[in-house]
Amino acid sequence: MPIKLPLLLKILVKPDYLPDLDDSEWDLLVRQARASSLLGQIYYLVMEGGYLESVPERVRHHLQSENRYFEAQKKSVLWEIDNISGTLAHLDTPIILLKGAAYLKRGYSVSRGRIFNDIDILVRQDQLDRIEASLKQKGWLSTHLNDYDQRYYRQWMHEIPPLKHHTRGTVLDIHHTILPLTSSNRPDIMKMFDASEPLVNEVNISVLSKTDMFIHSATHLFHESELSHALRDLVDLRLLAEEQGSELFCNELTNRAKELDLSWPVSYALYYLKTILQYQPAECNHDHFGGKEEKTVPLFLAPLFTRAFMPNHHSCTNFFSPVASWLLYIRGHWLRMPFYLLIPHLVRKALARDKNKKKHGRFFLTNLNKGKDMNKMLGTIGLVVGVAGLLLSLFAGIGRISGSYYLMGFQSMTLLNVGISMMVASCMVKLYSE
Amino acid sequence: MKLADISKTDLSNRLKNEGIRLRIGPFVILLNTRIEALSSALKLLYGESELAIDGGFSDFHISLDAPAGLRGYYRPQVLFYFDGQVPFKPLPITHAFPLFEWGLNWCIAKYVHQYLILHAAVLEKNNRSIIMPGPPGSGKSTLCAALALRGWRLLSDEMALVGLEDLSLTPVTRPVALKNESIDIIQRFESDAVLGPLSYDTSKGTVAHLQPPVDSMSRYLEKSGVSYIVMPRYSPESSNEVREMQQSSMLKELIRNSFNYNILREEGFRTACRLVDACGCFTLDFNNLDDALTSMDRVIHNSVNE
Repeated sequence: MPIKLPLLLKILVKPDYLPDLDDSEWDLLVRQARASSLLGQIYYLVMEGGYLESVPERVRHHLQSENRYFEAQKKSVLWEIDNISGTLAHLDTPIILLKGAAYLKRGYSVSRGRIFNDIDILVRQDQLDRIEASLKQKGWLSTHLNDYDQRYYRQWMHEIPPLKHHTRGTVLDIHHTILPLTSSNRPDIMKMFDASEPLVNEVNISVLSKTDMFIHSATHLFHESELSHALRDLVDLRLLAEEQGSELFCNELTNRAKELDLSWPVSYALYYLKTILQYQPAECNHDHFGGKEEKTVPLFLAPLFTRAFMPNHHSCTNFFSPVASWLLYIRGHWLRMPFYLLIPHLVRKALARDKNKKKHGRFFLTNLNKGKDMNKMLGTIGLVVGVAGLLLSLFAGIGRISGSYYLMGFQSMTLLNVGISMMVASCMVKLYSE
Repeated sequence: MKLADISKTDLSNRLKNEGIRLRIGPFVILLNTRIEALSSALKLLYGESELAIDGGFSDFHISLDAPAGLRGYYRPQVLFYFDGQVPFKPLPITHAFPLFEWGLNWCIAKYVHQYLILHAAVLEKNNRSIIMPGPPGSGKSTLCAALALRGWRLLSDEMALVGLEDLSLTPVTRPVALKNESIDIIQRFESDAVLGPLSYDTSKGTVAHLQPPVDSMSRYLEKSGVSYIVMPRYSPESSNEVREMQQSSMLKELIRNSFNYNILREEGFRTACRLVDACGCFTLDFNNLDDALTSMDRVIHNSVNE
């Protein structure tokens, strides 16, 4: 599918165009960048190129406001990291900062203008209980209080339920590995621990090595089920690769990815850096993933990701976008959670119950056989309503989880409730018919 | 060209298609809607606003529309779109105008940080400006409406935009939001007051907006210096009294009533300190509008203690 390159991508590929933009191009650029969480990045591209003078005054205010927002977040995150570090110092266990917090603490160019919501840390699994207990004493409270959610996180996920500070509202994600425990990829996290680098002037704060940062970011991006920040994440990867600056980077990256059994996300990353951002790390060509790289992203996935990497703005979407994001959503869950365990399990349970009913003569087919027309009709109505309700609930539920608050003009939750009511009603009808 | 200069049908056509670029204070807002009632409310309440020429940079892309599909027919609702995103839950379609106003407040509070933004009314008379911060229920909007109707220049009813460098006040003149009893009070106070449509049962009760004075609207680019900060406090039992307020207490009030203090941090703190230093700080207790107006005149004539 031919895609006209959106303005934001043109600028990310070639910031030299910035001083030539007219007012209406700026209008589009600011909107596309804001929707893709890349407005802060645009501010830095403008500053780096020395283009501020050429930016219309009105636009300058928006860029500078975004930067003020970023600076405020930076201060509070750095403060919060100090605080967490102090709270956990007596445990004498390394706290590895991940993603945004790590980039900030390292002062990498990727952190500039990058807005993020949660602080992510990685800790040793055997230290989780002590860490959680110490944080809870200092006012960090678990956000998911019901038993099911707690079990979901603790048994299946790569992190415990996020903690939230009860007065400041900061959210802290505590990971003990980098991918869900149920996912098909199970990289050896100890290798990442071993290569992590303590920060100078810090007691217990470390970060991943540069190479591992790239691999971690790529792994997350291509395991993600919600790709609303996909382009921002790809820009992160470019800046991380540029940060390496070494000609050996590609060699290191390839070997390390193999070692961690994470070659495919890295090769996907290199492929999309090249196709979307027209960026190729030094020496990353035919010897590495290059040459074969077109084959590394399966044919059916490639166009989906290409869509997902377009700016998250209505000027860049088409009829295919919602389909692509839905399919990627399913794919993300497929990688994270064993649907293939969950669905057979549910189906088996349902069938087992039907068998049971038949034995007791309560299954609706037995009623049909009795030839009671009224009951037959009621039974059929009940079945139709029940199935429709089930489908509606599924539709609304999936829609809501994938971020659509509104479906066909109704709130998703309203539709879900209607679906559930239909199922309840169908049960009543079927009970009556028997 | 002003909004009022466009004919009713022309306006609703433009709102449905390319949109209008409305100048509101220092901002240009590209606005789209298919809702006729909103179109006429805009024509009434923003009639004196200038239109920017088509194309060019708009600060905020806003549209308000009914949700698509079946939901549009059953108890119709209105959604606020910020450049395609929906930041709020829908409201009944009769609340379209208040939703536009609240949505615009949200846009400014979220994306504009070149000013210290205070939740306050701003008015000016004889080149002396007053910032009136006040929590809901303090009578701020009612007093603001009364002052605007008695010849004060209205710079803002809701947000004071304070320049970080020069402490100048940038007008963002918009209709004054009146709630519940205030609507009747203002209608009794000035029978010529032009009010927009009533919206019942909003989260703030019944809401109506007062058309801003023509003169204030036409001076939308004219910044002003600041002289006084007055905290109004309405209570039916209180007497009318203007009292000087400690600078430190006023500083706390400003910070509490600021939308973006947490983002401006040190810069915001310094600006608020300088603002308090540069201004006379007062509290104004009042139980009726006429006496409150007299008190406000005494404030700007430096005759509070006489």
